[in-house]
Amino acid sequence: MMGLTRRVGGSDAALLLATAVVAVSVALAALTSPDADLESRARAIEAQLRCPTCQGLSIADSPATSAAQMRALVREQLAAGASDDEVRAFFVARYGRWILLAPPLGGPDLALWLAPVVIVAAGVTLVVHRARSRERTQPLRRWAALPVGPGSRLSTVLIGGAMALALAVPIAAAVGPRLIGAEISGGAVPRTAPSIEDLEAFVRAEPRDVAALVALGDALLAADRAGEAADRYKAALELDPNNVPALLSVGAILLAADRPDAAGPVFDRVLALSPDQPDALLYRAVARLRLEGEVTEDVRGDVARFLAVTSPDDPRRAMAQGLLEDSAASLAPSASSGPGSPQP
Amino acid sequence: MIGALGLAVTIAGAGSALIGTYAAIGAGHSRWSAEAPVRAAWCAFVSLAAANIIMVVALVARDFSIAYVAQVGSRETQLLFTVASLWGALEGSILFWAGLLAGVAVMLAQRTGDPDDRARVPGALAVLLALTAFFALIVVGPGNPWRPLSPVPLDGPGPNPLLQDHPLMAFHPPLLYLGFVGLAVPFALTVDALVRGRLDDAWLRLARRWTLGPWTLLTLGLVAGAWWSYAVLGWGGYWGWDPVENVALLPWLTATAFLHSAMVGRRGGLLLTWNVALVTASFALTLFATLVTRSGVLDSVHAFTRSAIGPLFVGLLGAVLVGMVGLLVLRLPEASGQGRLGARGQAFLVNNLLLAAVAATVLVGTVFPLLVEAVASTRVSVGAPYFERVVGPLAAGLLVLVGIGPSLPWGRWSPTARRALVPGAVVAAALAGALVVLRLDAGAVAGAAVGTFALAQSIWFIGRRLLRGEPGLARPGLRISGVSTRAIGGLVSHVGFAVLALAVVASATGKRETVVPLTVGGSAEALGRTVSFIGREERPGPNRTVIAARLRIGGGAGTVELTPALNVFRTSTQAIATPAIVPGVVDDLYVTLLDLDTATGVATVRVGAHPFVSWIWPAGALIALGGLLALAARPLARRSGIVASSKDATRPVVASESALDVVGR
Repeated sequence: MMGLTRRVGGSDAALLLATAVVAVSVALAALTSPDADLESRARAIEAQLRCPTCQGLSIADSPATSAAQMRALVREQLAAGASDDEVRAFFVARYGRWILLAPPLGGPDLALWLAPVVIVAAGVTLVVHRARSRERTQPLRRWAALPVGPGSRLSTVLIGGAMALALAVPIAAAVGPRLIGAEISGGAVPRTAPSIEDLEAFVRAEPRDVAALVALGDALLAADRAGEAADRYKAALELDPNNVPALLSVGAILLAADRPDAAGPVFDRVLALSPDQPDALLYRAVARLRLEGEVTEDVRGDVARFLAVTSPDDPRRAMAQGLLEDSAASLAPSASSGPGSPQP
Repeated sequence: MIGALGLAVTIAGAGSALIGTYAAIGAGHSRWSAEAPVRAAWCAFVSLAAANIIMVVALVARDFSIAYVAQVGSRETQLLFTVASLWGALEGSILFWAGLLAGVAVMLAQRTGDPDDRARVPGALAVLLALTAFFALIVVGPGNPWRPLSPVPLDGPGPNPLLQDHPLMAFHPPLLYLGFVGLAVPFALTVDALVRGRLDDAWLRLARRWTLGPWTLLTLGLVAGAWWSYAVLGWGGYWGWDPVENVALLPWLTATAFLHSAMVGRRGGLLLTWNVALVTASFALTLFATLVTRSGVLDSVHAFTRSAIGPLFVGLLGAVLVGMVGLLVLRLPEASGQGRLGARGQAFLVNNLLLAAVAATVLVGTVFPLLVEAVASTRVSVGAPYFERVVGPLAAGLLVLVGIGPSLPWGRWSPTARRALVPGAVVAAALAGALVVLRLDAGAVAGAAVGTFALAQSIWFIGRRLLRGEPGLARPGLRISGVSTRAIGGLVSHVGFAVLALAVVASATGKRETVVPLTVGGSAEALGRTVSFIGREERPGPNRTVIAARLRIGGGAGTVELTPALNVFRTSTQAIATPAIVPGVVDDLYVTLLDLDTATGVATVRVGAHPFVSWIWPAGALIALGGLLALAARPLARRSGIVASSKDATRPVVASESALDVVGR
């Protein structure tokens, strides 16, 4: 202990203390960072996605219309409960790897991430090697033989090493999990659907965000608050009359409220926008069946189209075939199962 | 007619440059008079300057019978941008480049007065004039801008609309070009030193001095480019890590590394190979930048071979690299130093390691998509998220060094050096603690801490020097002229770099933005301010329609009226947003008009608060000012006995301080 105090002068103590304060501050900032809310997650993802019509800008920065559409998609998916990785994967599936502004750490482009590490390591090796070979030509000095005192090289190395370690550990702790969590496993952000309160706050902040309105409607519907949900969907449709998820949900609510006469035109509109929308085909068939009371050619046509566009393992196929057997007139779509939740 | 004249003058320039090269090689072997290549350089410069002037005349006269004018000109373009379109496209920029090269060749010949340095001029002129000839011959041959068109078009498309929106665009490219071309001079001096085996201190001093000017211009050019991006593109940022930006940054990084490592070399003949590598890399990277930005390789690797100019540039680049490696291998035994680095030298070594790592990483990140496309035929992007994550830690290391390096002795480590770190460390610790209380995120805290450390230390070093004078020349009192400006210059650049880093950290981590839709007469809350949409304006411009939204923004510091606009150019489908910016000491208010729907009358407006961005431009100017101060200092060799003898041709000179270091052991 005495030796240590002799080695460390007043200015060294001040330096060590200052370094420790910085290190603790960085560590504290990393540990106390607020949990990622929907907004900050959306912004983080938007900064990583490339605007397809711009030159190297992210969709977060770009003023282009296509970027605005992609931002809406990101928010819509996050609001529906997708994880960050799933949202990125969605865009990669649509546009290819090119859409990510930085290749993922674990992917085929790992070499890119290794490059800086290799470059620095090579530089350090070269410098150390040169220094060694120069040392060899001069009388070798051993650490043990070094005088110990405030001016010695040993104390510089000791103090410098302590400072470097103190700084490196919290920075690694701050950055490491984020890198590993977000890039490799994607497990840093738990996959939970945002709460109704979250979404309501979000919608209050951005009252014209159609995707958020729809997501809030979905959440309310899932909580069996169909009336409130319908209001949100209507608000969304006022902003964007052609929003397919909102139209589908409104139609489903009308069906559930036993208003097949009003539900039919809603599904007609969806199918005018997107002729092969399977949910709309199925629900229009149900609506027509209830309205007519029998299996008409129209119902058959919708069911046939539904069967043609869905994959063979779709669970709703049995229900669709049941419709044709006329025994299913009592079938009412459960509002939480189909519409609103985006098809993967 | 004017086209034929231009072509004739260009051919005369190329011819003079070729003759000059031959004469310069001859003068190197003392067969020709040393004045012959200088006269040839003058001829080449006058001819090529005339060619550039003729092209400007043709552009201003809108002589669409000349291919280049028809390609970039337009009757509606304003005069400033018409002149600027000289360097706006491939052929014109190469013509401009050739003229500048001949210009720096003449400058080198005229400004080198010292008889010993004068001996290096013919060799360097040979290299510079050969390069001039290469560029001039491209303009005569495969990239001929003077081709006559028939029938003569009535009008042209005009320059890229993005490039005619802001006066900065008329200054940013020529500043960069001047910097690029200027870096050919230290390269030429290095080739001469290698060929004649005179890789000594005098070479290093000259090469460093001729790097300072181009480095200063490059700094200004990069900052002007960033400023233009911020003021014109409307995305709220200033550096997008776009390939075009990256390749312009690369030579600046290596030149910065050289400015530092040359100081080590001068004090012990160390790192000579490394210095040669840095000078070569800086020059080669200017060629690479031109190649990348002008060949169309960025759009796709497959666009590369559309013009013969791309392959020619690759050939030149390959020749430069192979030639330099060959020369180094031949001269290596003579080029190894014997001195000891000392504490400051070791700091410079780490500085170079970090700067080289930044440059190498940026280079890898920029060419990676091209490599993947060439090999795997798929496209990937490498953009801001990658560069920020990788360059951030390296830049933090550089900032720490900025705070430590200048306090270190050239000899051994000493406790005094550690004592000099206390002020900055205390300030940084205080700030870091305060920022944690404000709940900033870890990256912001770490960045602010290292930035403040660098800033406080640099200001402290400057103050100490101004008050105490140079160590060793202990005469108290203010000393700004003469001896002091060189060191002060470096420290001023450090202050600029630290302020820049702090502003970048603040704007990257503290940016706030929100998008509001507005109808005429309506208002909305955004970032704690009230934004009201007063009305819509439409102004027909000379070559565009400007649609603007008049907004009144209240709250915060008073009420302002802003008119962010959208420019719709007749010759282009893309609309360009001109943001309205209210610069502030803490926050810039940055308002962009994203959309103004004609049917519904709804204006979609993005309101952003960008912290500390307005500090970036003066910080960049401060970095450049440091370069100017260092240039203003008297050349080192003539003021002290540190450089023992520059006539001892092949042996590097061991400086006095390293000698002291040896004695001290």
